[in-house]
Amino acid sequence: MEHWTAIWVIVRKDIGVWLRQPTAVAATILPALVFLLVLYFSARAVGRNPVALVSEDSGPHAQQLAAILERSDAFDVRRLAPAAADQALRELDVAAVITIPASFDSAYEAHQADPVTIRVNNLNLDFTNDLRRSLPAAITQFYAAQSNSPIHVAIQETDLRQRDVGLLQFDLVPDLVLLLTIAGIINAGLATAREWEDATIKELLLAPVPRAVLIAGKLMAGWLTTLLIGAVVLTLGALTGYLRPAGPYWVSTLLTVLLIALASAGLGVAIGAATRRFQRVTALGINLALYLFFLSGGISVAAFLPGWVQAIAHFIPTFYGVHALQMSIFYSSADQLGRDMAVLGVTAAVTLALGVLSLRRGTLA
Amino acid sequence: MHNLAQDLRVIRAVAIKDIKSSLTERAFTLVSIIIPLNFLLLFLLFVLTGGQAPTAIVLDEHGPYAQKFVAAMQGAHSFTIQQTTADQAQSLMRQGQIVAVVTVPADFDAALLAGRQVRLPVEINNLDVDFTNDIRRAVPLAITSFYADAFPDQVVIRAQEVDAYRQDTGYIEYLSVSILVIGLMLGGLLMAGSAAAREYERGTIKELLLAPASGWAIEAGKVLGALALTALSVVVVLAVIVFGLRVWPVHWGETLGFTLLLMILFVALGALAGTVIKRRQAVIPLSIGLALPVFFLSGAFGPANWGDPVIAAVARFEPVYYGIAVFQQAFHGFQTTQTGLLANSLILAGFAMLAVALSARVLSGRGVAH
Repeated sequence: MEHWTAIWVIVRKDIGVWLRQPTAVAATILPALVFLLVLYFSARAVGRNPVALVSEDSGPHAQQLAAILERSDAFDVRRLAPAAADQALRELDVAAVITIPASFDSAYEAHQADPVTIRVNNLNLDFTNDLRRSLPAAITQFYAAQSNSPIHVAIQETDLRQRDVGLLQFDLVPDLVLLLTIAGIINAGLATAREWEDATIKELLLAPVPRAVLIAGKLMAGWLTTLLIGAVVLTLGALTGYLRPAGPYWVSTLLTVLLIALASAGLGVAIGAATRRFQRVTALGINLALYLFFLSGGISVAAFLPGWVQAIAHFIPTFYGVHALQMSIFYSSADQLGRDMAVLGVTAAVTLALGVLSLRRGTLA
Repeated sequence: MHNLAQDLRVIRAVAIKDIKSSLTERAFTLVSIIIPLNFLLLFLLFVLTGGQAPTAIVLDEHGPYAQKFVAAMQGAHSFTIQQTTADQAQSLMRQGQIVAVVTVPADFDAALLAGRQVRLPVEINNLDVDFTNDIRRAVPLAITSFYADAFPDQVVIRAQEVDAYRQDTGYIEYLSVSILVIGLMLGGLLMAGSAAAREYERGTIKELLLAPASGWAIEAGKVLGALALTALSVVVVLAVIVFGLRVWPVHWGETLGFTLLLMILFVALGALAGTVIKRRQAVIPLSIGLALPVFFLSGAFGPANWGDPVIAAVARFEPVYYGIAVFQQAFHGFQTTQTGLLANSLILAGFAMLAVALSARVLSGRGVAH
């Protein structure tokens, strides 16, 4: 009972101090929230490159191809006259100019070579390859729409998941994990380091309570503040529909968030007790959080990464957190949930042990 | 003359003091120097594959058309292909090592020769619609390319590409230059921000402002000290980009000149942030945390106005956008903004002068309040 009282007192004190430093709170949370906002706007344009379309042929086939290009989700098409298109390409208003030649229909009917020109501003391969893929894809659609199409290969697509997930929605999960990790490490780390900065560690260590209780109090305070931030993001996500698990999958979602926050706070306490300085905690903690973010998939999809990065990712606890959240929120699936929870649980236990160890070493020093 | 000599002495003294103070906090200074390098390495991890989808091809047919189809897929700029059996492909898919399986059916050649319809099974791990759509577009591209090669008289419409630049620039080469600008920003904000905030935390700001020295000289000294410290991280990142990644600037003079200009700008902004916030506890996470959203906001991946119009409009009000533009010009000769090189340089110089003036003004004003 005494131990619980001690833990409760430490939690109240740490949360009270945290609330009295709104600048520090804002500096920790604001960047991740701004990142969410930037991601929201960026995702709207990803995969749709602005192109100018010059159609020099008014024949039915040329117009059919033009209509396919305009409907394509790969392009943001502006129909322009040749001179205006040249200017738009020069002034970076568009990434490419597609020209359907005046002889398009006649060449098509006569089975003669019928090139559609695409002039590309090939300043980097990401945009260039998108454009290289998209025009032939539109040509394939054009042929598929013909009654006597010469193309006899038809794609039979099977998707592994029951639904597609948009880029923004997909990236929100690692961003939530980044937010939890940064908040956990920084809040708990600073609260711990503050005891040394303010020289109050002596009073704490001389108090008649075991050190594990001190660590538990610090951990609990860091955990609660991190969960508060996580709750805000989850609530916003649920209200907007971007992060809304179905029925029972709320349980696995919340459990995952609880464990990620616990492991992050544990890591923060360990770093705070080991380094005992604000600036070391923030510099080390944020670097560590960024590594955890990127190596668990970050803004990309882990399966697209080189084999050696994928191999490293399997040793990163947040990789399992991201996986568990994606399965629960997007696919209403408990696929490998046991494995993910076990990894996160063990990580939380290890960070707790590291915290106790750091405090013990710190005391002796 | 006397005033100038006095100011120079103040500048030198403040700069040396700040450098020495930073060097007493070795762990933090070291971390600050390697943070920009961390950003470079972490971001580059994600462009190593060049957006190519790791894909398994299962060949149930080994005839000439099937082989030509595989060649068309390899030339589609979209796949990293490995040929496997059906079982191996499923196993790789389960382990998350590939994201698509394309199966060329047993009757592929015979059906095409007979003019019959062929179904091409494509299994996709549709995790994220951006990556998934790349695959959905690339398979038709491979089919059309295959037809154009195998049946040139039947498929007559082709895409004829004309490139603006003689050679393609890889994503790593492009992105590393953008990351260099973020590295400059991060280094400047961290070093100058923490040096300025340190004065308030330790209470030494009073001595500094009560000294018989002008606010301008003190600010110039602080900027100079932070510039020297930031130079360490800039040299490291620049060396990795030029000698490690072999991204050689087209214009060395512009590269060095713009590096200095951006260092001054970001160091002055860092000093301003440190003076306003007064706490390293807030300045450090803010500096590091802002790097990620600013990076996305500033047209790091390509010209900003090819993306969302809101982002493109906001980007025009922040210096990293112009910084990336002048560095892409210096390294690759690319124009990535609608404003030209001269206008971008003038805008950056204006930002730098404004930042220096503002931080000197705020330092004097805040000091009185303190």
